Amino acid sequence: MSDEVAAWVRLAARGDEEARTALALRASTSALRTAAAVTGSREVAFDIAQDVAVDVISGLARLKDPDRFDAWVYRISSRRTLRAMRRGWSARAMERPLVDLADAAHPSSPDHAAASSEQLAARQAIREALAAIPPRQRLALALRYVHDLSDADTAAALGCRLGTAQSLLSRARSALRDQPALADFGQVALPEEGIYELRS
Amino acid sequence: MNSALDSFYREAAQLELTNAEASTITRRINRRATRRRRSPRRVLAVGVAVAVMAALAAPAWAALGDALGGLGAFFDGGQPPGTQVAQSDYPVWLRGDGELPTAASILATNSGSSLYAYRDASGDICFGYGGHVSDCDGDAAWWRARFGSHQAVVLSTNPTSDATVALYGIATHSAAQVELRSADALLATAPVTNGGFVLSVPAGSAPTTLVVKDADGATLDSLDVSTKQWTFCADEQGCP
Repeated sequence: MSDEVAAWVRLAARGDEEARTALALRASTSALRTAAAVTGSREVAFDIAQDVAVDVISGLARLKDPDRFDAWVYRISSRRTLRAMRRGWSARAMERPLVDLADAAHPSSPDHAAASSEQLAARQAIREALAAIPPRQRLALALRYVHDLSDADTAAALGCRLGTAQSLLSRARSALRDQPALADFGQVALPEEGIYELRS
Repeated sequence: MNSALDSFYREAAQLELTNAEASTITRRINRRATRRRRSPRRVLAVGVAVAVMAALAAPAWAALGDALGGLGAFFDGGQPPGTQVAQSDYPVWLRGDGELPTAASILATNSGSSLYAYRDASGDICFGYGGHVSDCDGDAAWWRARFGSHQAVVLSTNPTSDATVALYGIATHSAAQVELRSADALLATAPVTNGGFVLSVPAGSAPTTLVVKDADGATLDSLDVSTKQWTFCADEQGCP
């Protein structure tokens, strides 16, 4: 979290339009990344990112600590993403082929067209694996691996206790490892099983 | 980490908004901010993005031709269609800071919620709804481009004071009726009047599709509305 972002928050609170726009774009980019990793669809992720931008700007007055802007955005993104999953976006998104997210905005790019069959098979494996685990677990993984959040920050974003977040991550990794193609997932960082209590 | 998953998450972590996406978001937050005053000047990048979007959609506007009927004439500089509203009867929120719109009309009304079309003091094409929200842009080509290949454009949803959510939109001349549907039920219907429509559903409903029909009841188009906000947030502290 840079001082610059905190300064934007203060300026936006005083009505500075450029600061407001900068914050909206920062928030929506963050949300886009979170939601894309959860839904597997850039299109759906962008819809969520728009909603997050509106939530952030309309709720900026409620942010008491400007230094916590990014954490606040993670929380809003998490709520919005889970809400979207409950509405059934996840099922529809996962029914589509999981494309290279970075190329999704430019599906005709040569790199995208040249994806090898091995890559496509790997993406299919990811699609199936992610679709099989609950949304909150998917979200916990996204917060950890996309935004590199600590367990505590992941818990804050999810609005749950530390132990719950750790349990979600543990269960998610375990579920993914059940997929043959992803058997080595999380081996290095895997916490011991069974020591966390699921509270939510 | 597994290399495929590592790649997947790394790609997600590196995603950036395209210019068009940034433009959309900037517009949306500025639209929300347009309460009794016009949105600020857009940044250069937004203008460029809109110009590119408009250029790419040029063939679609030609295809639309007169399909927009009165709306098309309004976009091209004419009076807004619908029931004209005298300046003395403008709602308070439309009076702004004293710069009255030069022309305003009501396109459609449903359950007390009205969709206004007006040209503001700077000449921008505007649609107003929800008692305070204005969606304005001076570029007629941009408004036409919003239709793309569709028969309707959903402007926005907006909660009303009685725990319902209204959906506001504009449609082509061929559209006579719109329906809001969930996965398994018809939730609401409304006529398209003067190129506009207002649908109202209880807050918390989960509409998924807006169906556009012609005067004979034939389906012209279907739009996904599942991503719109359908909640009613009465407790500000608990929002969003």
